[in-house]
Amino acid sequence: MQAYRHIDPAVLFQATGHDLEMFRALSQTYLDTAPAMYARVEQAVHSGATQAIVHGCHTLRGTVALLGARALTARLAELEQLVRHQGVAAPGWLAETAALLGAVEQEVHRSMREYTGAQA
Amino acid sequence: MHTADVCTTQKAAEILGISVTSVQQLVEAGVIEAWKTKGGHRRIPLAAVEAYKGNPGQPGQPGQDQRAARSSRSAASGRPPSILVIEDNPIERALYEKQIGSWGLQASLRFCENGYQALMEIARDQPDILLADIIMEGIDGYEVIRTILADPLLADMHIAMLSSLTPEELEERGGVPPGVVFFAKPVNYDELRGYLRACCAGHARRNSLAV
Repeated sequence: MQAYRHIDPAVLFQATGHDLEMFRALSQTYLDTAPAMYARVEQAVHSGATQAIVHGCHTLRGTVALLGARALTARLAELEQLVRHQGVAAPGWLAETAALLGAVEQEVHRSMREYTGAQA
Repeated sequence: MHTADVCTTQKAAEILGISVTSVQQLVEAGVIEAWKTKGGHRRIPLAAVEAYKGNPGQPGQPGQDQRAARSSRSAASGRPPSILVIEDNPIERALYEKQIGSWGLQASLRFCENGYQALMEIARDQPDILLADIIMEGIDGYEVIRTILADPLLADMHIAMLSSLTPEELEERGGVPPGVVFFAKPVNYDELRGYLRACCAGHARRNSLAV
């Protein structure tokens, strides 16, 4: 089986108490809610609203951390820190983050189909 | 867990002027509330140590008259402790429900999605234990907790903050209020279970004393 590079399904699986049905339901909840969370971050970055960027990143970070999406979690934490101290996001940050978010989404879809918890 | 609000068995022994073994016995007997971390280290709320110090021989009672009065009312009702969780993230709400529901706590559990809803719910039916996320739209967890702490009638509520804020970010927001415990996210469920068990055990003891 192909390894997961952007998420660690065992993180969410263990948090559910090894409940595969719940794992899949919460993965779907992620797929349903994450786009709107990211849209809020995107909008906040475009408008330069510092508080909204920090809040949006924090919310999305808390969610992707539950999936074991370490790189995306770290990236959102970096932006939170950067904006807190400098008030702006680095150029190109949104495009790179969107790509990472897309990769996470693909692996969440795959984990819903393939992950059985046997690896946890 | 925020280190300012809890202490080790050794520290509790120093505060109380008794041996570590005596503290362990008091904890095992349920006279002083405590729980264990995932690594097996005992953690004792400073409030419980101070309560025992102020009234040795009695289970940890809040020191203020209003707290005691409210505790008596709650305990006299004989109802199981109630836990209110404020969490805006649907995935985390589901995980709390699953985890807490599996611990056999004999406690009721309800959820609010934001601070405003929580304040309305607390006014309608005061919980015994509050677990509050911090960063939320509108009224955030800090505002909810400050509101509770400012109301003497709510003073004996067990309150825990749960957040992925760093210690520096917490300090920028005023830190963890006295008497409130802090759990870092992602939540260590073993520690949370220990905390909730200690809170529920304290509630049960007050119930038995009130009968």
